[in-house]
Amino acid sequence: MMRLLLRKNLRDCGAETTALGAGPRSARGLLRGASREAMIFALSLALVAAFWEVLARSGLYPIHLFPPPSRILPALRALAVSGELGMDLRASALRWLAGFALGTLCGAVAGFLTGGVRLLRESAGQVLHLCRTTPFIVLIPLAILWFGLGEIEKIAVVAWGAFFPVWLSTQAGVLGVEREYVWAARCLGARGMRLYWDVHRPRCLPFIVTGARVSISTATFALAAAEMAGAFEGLAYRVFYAHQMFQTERMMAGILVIAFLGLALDRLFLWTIRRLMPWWEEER
Amino acid sequence: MSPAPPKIEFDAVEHRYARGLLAVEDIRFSVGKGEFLCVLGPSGCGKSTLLHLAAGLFPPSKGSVRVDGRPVLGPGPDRCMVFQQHGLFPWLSAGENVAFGPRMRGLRSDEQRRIARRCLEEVGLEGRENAYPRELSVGMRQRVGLARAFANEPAVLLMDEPFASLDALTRRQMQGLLKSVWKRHGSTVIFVTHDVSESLLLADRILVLSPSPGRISKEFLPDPRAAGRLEAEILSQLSFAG
Repeated sequence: MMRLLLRKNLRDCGAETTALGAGPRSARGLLRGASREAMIFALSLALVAAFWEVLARSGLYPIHLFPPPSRILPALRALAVSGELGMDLRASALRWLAGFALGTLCGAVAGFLTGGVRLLRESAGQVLHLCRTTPFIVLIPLAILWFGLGEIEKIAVVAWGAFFPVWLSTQAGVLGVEREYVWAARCLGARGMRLYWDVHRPRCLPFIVTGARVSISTATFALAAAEMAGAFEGLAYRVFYAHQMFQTERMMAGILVIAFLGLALDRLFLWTIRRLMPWWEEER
Repeated sequence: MSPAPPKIEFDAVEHRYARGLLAVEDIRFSVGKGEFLCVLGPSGCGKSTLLHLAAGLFPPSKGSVRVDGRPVLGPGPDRCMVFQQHGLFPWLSAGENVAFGPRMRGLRSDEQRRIARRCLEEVGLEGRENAYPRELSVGMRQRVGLARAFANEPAVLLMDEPFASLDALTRRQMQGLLKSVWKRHGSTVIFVTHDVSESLLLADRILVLSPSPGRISKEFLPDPRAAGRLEAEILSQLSFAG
């Protein structure tokens, strides 16, 4: 319902600009939409927290296995004060960023290659499909053997996780470029690599972006798996370690941090692409 | 024989697509310099194929297409196509779309901008350089398409049902606009349509194609004094052919 309302809101703004002619999208309308969304989200979170608190304190389930928010928040503060949270955040963020950048970049390049060259699609493409359908968790021990238990190993695992969605969706984008665009460009004098750079690349950008959005979550899965398989710091490692130590509150605190970071990354991503591709009008 | 050599010549052209479908057969006609030729026919009769062949997007299976007496070997900026849809690049603003041709020709960026502004002005879209296609109405998008085609000063304009998706009123306006811009530039035009009254309004000469495979079934010269009779005649020719 909220989504629907928001979308309607955005569409109204769009209609306004077309009708009024040039000029920026109605800022007030957007702000109203955004602050409204934030408010409803905060309210839903508060409701969930209240329900959780009551449920946890009801005695239906042992409180040390199912701690209420009022116990988790102090544990979170303790993690922050001791410096562990900062250290974990930094370690996880660096691994994630490096792996994500490497994986999506390689994915986009590979997508252009397998999408553009039929022989590559039929040969390398099939091998990549084989890799894609192998669960990456079973590859982590191999990564540890090859790269040792360190940063390179984790970055490689994250890159592996981020690679496939971008590769597949870029390939679909290249294969789906409308022939009218290509023809129009050729009639206007574009040829060879110029055609690729000025038509295929911008036309595929939305596909790359859609793939990258999926990669945000697959990269996060991969990072969590890699940290749980063996690490000395990191958010997922902290959850795993707290579990071993039977510190449920710390564990829950770690899970919450990871959950909110994931959402924040997704929003940040949307914000970035709206600025990168103002011409894009597909569903978000 | 006309004294001036024809601008475009189709000589016994036949085209068969990869799947074996015979699109057009035994096509012979020529278009004089500065002439406005309409190709009329039911959908699927190979009208568009003729344009694609003239643009050089692919070679004919048999026969030859010549422009200025030389066989067409590939697309070139001297021949420009205007499409019914998917013509404008949605990732470029109106101004950048129009400047695409000049950019591909390697002109300086201020020169590109100057051309884009002038061409947009010509189609009545001054000040809309920065609008993206999605922010423009369908009619405005076709105006940008027209401006983009003229930005390269093409000697030949190949138009594939450019106004088919417009409402009747906008279509009238666009037809008037096209006619005036065409007169000013003196280009040679092949205009494909399935709208009889449109062809009568625009063309110097009309070719009617019959379908499967496309063949030229008759040629008409529009005469404003006898438009009604001609329209009836062409329509009967079309139903005959269909």
